Amino acid sequence: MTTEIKERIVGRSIKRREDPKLITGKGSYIDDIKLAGMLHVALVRSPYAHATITSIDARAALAMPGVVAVFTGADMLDINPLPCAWAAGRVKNNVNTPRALAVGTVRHVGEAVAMVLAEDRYIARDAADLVEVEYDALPVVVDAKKATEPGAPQLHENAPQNIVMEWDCGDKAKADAAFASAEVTVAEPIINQRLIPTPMETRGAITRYDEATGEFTVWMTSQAPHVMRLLLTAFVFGIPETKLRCISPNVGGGFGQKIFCYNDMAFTMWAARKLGRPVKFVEDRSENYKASTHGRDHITDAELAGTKDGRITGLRVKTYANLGGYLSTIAPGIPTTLYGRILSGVYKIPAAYCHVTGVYTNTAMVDAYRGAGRPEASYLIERMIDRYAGEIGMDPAEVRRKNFIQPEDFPYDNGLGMLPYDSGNYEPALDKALAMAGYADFRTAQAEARQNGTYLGLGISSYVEVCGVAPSAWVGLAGEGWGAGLFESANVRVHLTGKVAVTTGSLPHGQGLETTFAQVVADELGVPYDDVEIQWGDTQGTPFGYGTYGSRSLTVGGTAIKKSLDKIKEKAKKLAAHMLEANEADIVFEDGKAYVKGSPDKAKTIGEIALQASLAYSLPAGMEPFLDETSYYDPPNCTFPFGTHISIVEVDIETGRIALKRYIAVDDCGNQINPLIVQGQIHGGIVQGLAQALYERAVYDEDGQLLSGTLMDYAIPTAEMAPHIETAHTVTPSPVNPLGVKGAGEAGTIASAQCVMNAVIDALAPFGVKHMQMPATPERVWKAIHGA
Amino acid sequence: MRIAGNYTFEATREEVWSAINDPEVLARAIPGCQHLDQVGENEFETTLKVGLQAVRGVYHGRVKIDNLVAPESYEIHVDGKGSTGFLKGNGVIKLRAEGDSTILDYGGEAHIGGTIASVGQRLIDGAAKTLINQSLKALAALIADRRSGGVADTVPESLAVPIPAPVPTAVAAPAPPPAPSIERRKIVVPAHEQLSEAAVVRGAIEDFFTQQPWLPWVVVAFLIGYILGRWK
Repeated sequence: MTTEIKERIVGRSIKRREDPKLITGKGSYIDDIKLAGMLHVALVRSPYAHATITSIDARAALAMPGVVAVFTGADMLDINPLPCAWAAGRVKNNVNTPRALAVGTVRHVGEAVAMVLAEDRYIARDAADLVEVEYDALPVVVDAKKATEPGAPQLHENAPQNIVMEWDCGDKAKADAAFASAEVTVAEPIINQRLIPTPMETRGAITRYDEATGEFTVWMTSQAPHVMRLLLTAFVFGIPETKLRCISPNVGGGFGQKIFCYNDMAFTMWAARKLGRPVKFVEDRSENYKASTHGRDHITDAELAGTKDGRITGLRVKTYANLGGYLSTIAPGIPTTLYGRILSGVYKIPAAYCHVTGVYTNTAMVDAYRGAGRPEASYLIERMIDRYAGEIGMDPAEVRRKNFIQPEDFPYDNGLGMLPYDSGNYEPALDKALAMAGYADFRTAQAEARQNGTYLGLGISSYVEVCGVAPSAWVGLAGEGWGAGLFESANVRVHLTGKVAVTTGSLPHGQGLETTFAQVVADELGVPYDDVEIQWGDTQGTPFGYGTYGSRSLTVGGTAIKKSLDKIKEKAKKLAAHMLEANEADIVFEDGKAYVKGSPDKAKTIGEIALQASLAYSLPAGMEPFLDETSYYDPPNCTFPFGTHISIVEVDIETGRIALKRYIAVDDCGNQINPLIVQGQIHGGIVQGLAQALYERAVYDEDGQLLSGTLMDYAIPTAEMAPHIETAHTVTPSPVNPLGVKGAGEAGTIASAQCVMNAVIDALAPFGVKHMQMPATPERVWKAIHGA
Repeated sequence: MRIAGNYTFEATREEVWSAINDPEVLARAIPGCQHLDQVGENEFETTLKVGLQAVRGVYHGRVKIDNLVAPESYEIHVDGKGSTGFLKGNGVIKLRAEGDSTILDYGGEAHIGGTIASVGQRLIDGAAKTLINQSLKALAALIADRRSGGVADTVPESLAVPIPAPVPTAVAAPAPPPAPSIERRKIVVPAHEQLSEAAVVRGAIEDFFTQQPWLPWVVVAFLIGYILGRWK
């Protein structure tokens, strides 16, 4: 058996191996799964944002042929409410989480009140309309700031003024002093509007219960099946973790919304056990909009202090974070740990302070959405930099340059309680983006265009993000509320045929992990790429891992694989030494072959070694058969990808319409395993971020009704609305992990909203516009121009 | 949601007042009204089948009237719900005479919830306007009928009201519970006399063309252009 010397495939833009299956409709998503005897669930949801349930009458529904049962929250008091797993920011005795079905009171529109189980989905849906629920409406509050004011409607008895937590970071006294002595200060109210993540596939769960063994199997649209298994067993049902198997089949996008523990997981489990039949629930789009988690929703007062010549001296931020009617799984961690601690961005700000008030309101729960806290932070600092540059009449690019953290400052402590930034070199990315945009000539062109009545604007966004969540050294710290490091796992087996199976706690739902991971494995072991299989998504058969989110799967999950590969190689070397009758210290492992240093012609391939290990008749004393290694990797630090994005817009001042003329993205995500996939991630992220700047906004009216409840009302950008994106990269390998990678899944979203808003506001400068809130719809732009 | 508007009747103020206080008339002028049950002096229950855009569905509701100032104005309070959501509204209806005609001004505020709010919000203003206009148009026709000795003149005087919202209903007394003197009764509107979905849509289209007389010509011009383009 021989293996030819292979070209390295890490760093090559090979196409995603998962795509042929998915784009030809051969994937298996939750709604593709049909089990014999399966019942279908339709939910009765509250039309009120805040109300007491006075009665539920299901007689008419139960009388309908095909309806098997109707259950309410009162039936499920034997299971606990869903847990909040990240009570960050000193949340103490006021955690309120949803139950499988509401009991007594509903606190947002769309909250599930009763479940109808029927032989098919249509019967269930029709029967749900026949369930008579009487409500007594209660006063409603949807605005986070107003919810904390005296006299505001109260959602939970244990949360006076609806406050979830008061959290701060940085040095208040120092920041106050910086402002007291500042030459220049700028202040701006900044609203980071509520968004709805909108994965292409909505969420759902299917449970099968085995009465003989007492085991549940739940298929779920989850980014983190192992975590769901832990939360559902240990916290909700109080059963052994081993009695639940969670399976994520193909998942059609998540963007954070699918990280969390949802009521449908719990009520399908409860009902499947009760009725002895499999139970399926898949939400429709408007249910997803009303009842699955939303993102962002900050109301902030931001202040920045500096010198007249462009040196930033202080930052002070007060934020009200709307967390919705209940706490979702990691909700309190998002506007605290993942927001406040990164607020100073890529700049050396000597005195910074951030205070966050987390608030309950009569709205859907808010939790992580692509970027999770970091887009909010990045938007804030980048808008304030432009605002400051305008105030002192300095070029915004120069203000950035002047305040950048310098290469020699790394590892850099930002004073906000973040782990030290690992590495970075911000100026080259800025310079590259400026050069691509033709910045040197832009201002002249802009002035000329204005003479002709064309209003161009250029926006710069220099960002840093925190990826690879989350080291135990960070989230395990006292006060961060999590208490566990978010490590990741991988098992690698080389079978006797030489085929390699990798199982991991990471799982793809659009990231192309099967491809990226296989590239790493193929190169490290020197086996053909096609001989590597990546397996994921099933708690039975994969080692415990925390799942995929926070741009962590390559940095943390990929490194876990790398560590297992290292162990495999060590064992292979030992066995090769035995096979070659040589000293282990003299063995070299290279390109899939082990040989004695200096004589590569007499090599044993990894295939031959695996065969030997599997047959097991001639192994060194004490060696176990098989090449099979598992690793758990807890990263020592986060990674800190960075870059500069520039956009150029043209504003039609007659209509307020914005045309995105150019979008330039220079990103540094460290080493790239597959540049094509990196580019895809950057593209998708950018469009999702610029959609916040121009289109998207989840709107509740004063009664707590979600007005943007459908895809007709909530403006998801289409391909036609996406600009041509010019990408480039700088490469600063991360010193944190052996792959030198930093993560790329969220970078685009973290960089792009402010990039576009800065451009819009730059275009409107002749009209005296200094700030406007997102999204910059034609109406808002027109009003800003006309001072309305 | 705020609703306001007016409608001009070619009738005296007394005629209009009498019509908008007659449940038999109202039951025929409220879109999709299947029955109107008087449950108190100024209180009614009704079932409406509405088939327009986002407000499509069957609604059950209760309406109360108070602050009557005959023949000038009254206030109405509506509370209705159906499979697609709920509605709660308060409004004022005023009549003023102008020459030989009477102008009905309506205004109010409605709170809607459920699917009609989240799916239908952007359509609801238009739907509400259409329903109200067609309802008032039907009312005008019924008043004209009455003049010529048509329907409903056998009905005893009682109160009923069109509601300024997509989910209209009926009427009810201000304070005390139903006075014993009031006879509970049920008005069932025969299918052919209901203001049907089709009639509402037909009426709305008629109005549209009346307001935009040039529109058919645009359509014709477009078609000619299209045919010429294809022919070429």
